[in-house]
Amino acid sequence: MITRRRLLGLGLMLAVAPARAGALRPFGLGSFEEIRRANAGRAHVVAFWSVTCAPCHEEMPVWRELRRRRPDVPLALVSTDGLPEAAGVEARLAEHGLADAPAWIFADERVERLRHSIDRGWRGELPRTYLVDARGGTEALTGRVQWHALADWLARAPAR
Amino acid sequence: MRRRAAAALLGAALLAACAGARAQHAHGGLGASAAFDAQGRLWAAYRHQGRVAVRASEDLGATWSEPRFASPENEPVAADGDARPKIATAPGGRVYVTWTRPLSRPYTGEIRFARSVDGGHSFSEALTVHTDRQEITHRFDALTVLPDGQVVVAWIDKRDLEAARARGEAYRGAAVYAAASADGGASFARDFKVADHSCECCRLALLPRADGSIAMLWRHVFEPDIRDHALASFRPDGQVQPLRRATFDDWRVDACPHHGPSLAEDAQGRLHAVWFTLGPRAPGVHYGRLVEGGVEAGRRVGGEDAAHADIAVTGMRVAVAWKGFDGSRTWLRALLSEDGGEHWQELALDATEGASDQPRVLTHDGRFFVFWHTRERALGVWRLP
Repeated sequence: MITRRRLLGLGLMLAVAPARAGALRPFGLGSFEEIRRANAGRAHVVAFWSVTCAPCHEEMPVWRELRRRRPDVPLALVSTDGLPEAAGVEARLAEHGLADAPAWIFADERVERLRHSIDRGWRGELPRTYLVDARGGTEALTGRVQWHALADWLARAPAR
Repeated sequence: MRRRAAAALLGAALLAACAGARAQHAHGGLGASAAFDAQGRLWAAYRHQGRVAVRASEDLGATWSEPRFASPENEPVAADGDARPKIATAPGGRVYVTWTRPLSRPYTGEIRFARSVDGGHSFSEALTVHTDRQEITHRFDALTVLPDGQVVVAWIDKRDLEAARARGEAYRGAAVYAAASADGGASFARDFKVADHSCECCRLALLPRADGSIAMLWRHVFEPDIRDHALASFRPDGQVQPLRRATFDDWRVDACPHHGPSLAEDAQGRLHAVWFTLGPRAPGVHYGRLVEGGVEAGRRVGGEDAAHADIAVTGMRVAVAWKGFDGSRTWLRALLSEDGGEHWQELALDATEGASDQPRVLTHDGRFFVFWHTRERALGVWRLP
């Protein structure tokens, strides 16, 4: 079901996205809510990162690990770099073995507005991660996420 | 750092629904800088058509000259967030410009420099400031001119991190390097290290002082992972005084804040600074005078949404400008003190619904000007009372 919805979403995105964005989906004002809605009822992770952020780079193996060990936990990777950087973003994802992970890229240069639509407490520091449990309870993390922190959360997050 | 954000998220969702999906295409790169010359002409450098463009204004920003390009064609230029082209002026119609040229590997770059010796009509062929030519991080250039005319460029540099890695050792953060030109920017002497263990992604603040030294304030990584600020003094010949801790917010985080400080000096030689922290005691933007071992006359700048403050001082008058997003508009505000930072008056200068750069505060002839480059109003200038 989720898959079908995602495919539909992807189709819509491809229809409006500029060709250079490739497999990346444009992330706009409603995108965070759309991601949460698409994954409602199950634990999922939305991870914001940038190609210019070294701790984000160091964090990437954790997301590959999550996909390998917990394929039941959807992951959304959102680059804050902006559409002109799409090629670099895709290259970094591929480098980290995350080429097929659902990925978005900031597609609105009004980044304060975009951040506000995600979480008004987020001041732009990266990496920034939202751990959303099956009941919609959300934890916001600033800084590099370590596997043990993620595993802890997965162990205690309500599964339904 | 961990925060419950569910309530905020609900509010944000409603807002997002109201705002609709009027997504703009990201043009990217509003990062701009400005500087006065001795005649009161205002100079601006920013990214235009992918290159560093320089324009001058004879009327305090009301009108601007046609852009002249300082960077070569087809050379990428960083102009986002804390990375932006820098501009400085010197007597005799000299205009200096630096920028970061991103290279192909992630986080790598070169610090580039070009100058005009004919009042901004033409710019020299760009040169790379540093002698280190590895394809590694040289980013977040900062530029200043000393009273004796020496040109000083500082930047964030990862050569020590790379060397430690090659030895299989750990290295905290990045380093700050600098290089000076004694021939008005025709060439730069060998680069030298100012400090180890800087944060990797925040702008540096340089302050030229009357004694020919440069004070530098930057976000540091104190052990084990405290991203507060450090202050050091160095000379263009490479003499460096040991750094001291300048802010004490205890922000422990392994992240890129993308939010650097600003530094200015008053007539008594006291250092005034603004900086951003998400430390446990008082998250937000702060002002304070930097004294040995502490901060004097410290205060919060703006509300919870305050960001990217800049500071300038003339005599004993201090001005701070910052921006903040209230959910629908990005505000430009200023604080003004007539008595060296003891008492303040707050001013609302403008607001925009579009994308905007960080504001800068400039001084000329004892007066303050705020420079703000936004999508709605390019190279805007506000004169403070």
